[in-house]
Amino acid sequence: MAIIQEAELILLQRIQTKDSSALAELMDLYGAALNGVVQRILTNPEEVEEVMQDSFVKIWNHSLTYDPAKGRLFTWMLNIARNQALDRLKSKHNKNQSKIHSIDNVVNQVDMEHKQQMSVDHIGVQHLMNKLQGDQLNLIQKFYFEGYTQQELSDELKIPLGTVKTKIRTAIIELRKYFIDK
Amino acid sequence: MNVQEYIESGILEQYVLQQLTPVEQLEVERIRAMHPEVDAEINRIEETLFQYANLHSKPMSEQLKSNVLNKINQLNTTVHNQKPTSIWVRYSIAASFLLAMVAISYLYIDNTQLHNKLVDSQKSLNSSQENLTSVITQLEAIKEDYSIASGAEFRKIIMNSLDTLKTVSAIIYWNQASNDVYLNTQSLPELTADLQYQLWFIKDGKPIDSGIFDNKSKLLKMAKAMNPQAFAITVEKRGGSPTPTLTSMVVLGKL
Repeated sequence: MAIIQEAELILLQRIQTKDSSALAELMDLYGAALNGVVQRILTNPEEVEEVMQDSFVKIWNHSLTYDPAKGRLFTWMLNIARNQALDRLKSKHNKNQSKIHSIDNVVNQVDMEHKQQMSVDHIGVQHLMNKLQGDQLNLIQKFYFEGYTQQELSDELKIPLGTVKTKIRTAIIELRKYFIDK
Repeated sequence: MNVQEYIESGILEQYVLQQLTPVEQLEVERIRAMHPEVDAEINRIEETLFQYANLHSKPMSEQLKSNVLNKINQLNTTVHNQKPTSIWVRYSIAASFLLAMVAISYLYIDNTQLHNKLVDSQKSLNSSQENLTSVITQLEAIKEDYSIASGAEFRKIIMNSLDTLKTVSAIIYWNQASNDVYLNTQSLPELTADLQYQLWFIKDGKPIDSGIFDNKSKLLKMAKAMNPQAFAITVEKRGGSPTPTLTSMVVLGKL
């Protein structure tokens, strides 16, 4: 882990000095993972590309605001990309409805857009599904990638907040075991 | 809430996913700095998140990558081509940034001070509470002593020094019904560490051991005494003696 963080920092320093080849390396390193997350939120391939481009430009422009003490570079990038994607979804939604909508509607829309896509398309995920019980995978997916808060999950799935927290926590611990065993 | 409960509360996951308010974030960072296990947990959550995202990864097309690079190269050129920002604009940007930093640090310091004050108040409240508890305990002891001393079944036997020049004395409270013996050592002098006082009661002319004690102001409960004729205290080696050393008798009281 420490080695990863050191490598991340060196890469980041090059980005901060506006070395564009470093950004290319960063895309090779983490681009696919971010792309997967953005595709979880937006279905339209053009929109996905736009959001990915905006995200990396933002990472490039705001590289000085990243604070290694607060977390990994990947986490920082993931939060940027996810927020960009959710903002896009929200503005699209607002345009369509020309109304102010709560985040609930936005996250519901994430679901709507993915109803067809929900079929498991990764061998890895299929493998994981055998490990995680019942709705754990669904919870993790929504919590990690789709911008749901624990409270929103509780409201939407009509299960108590405490139960949501426990379920997410159990799922994360299962995930950890899975990744360690792998 | 202890550290384990804090970790299990789910707040760290929210922290990693940036779902907390700035104030809540600061709080997590404060706790993270104090507890290595919280720091380790945050690292684990991030690692899991990364692995999980990796599992769902979809490669970026080469076209997309080169679009990004073109875009930032454009930005770079634009930046270079821009006419230099006026020195005043730069200064005012720097000044406002500085001002903001100062304001933030004041807020932060203020917050820290408030927090410290709160901790101090809590400490002093706790110590007041402890003092009160100790006063209540003492009061209970005094009440008990008083009820013993004033009870109808108790006989009070004052033991005086055999040496009439000395004012040393002690008081026995003997319960005639239960044979319980309480001792108030009142004004016995302190002994060296190798010595202890020993109480005896005299029955049919023979001394019977009633227990050893160090001189404490509290009322002491001693061994029961059946049909005592007198009570006496001697000074013995620490641990007591099977028979009293008569030459070291300090006080004696007859019934």
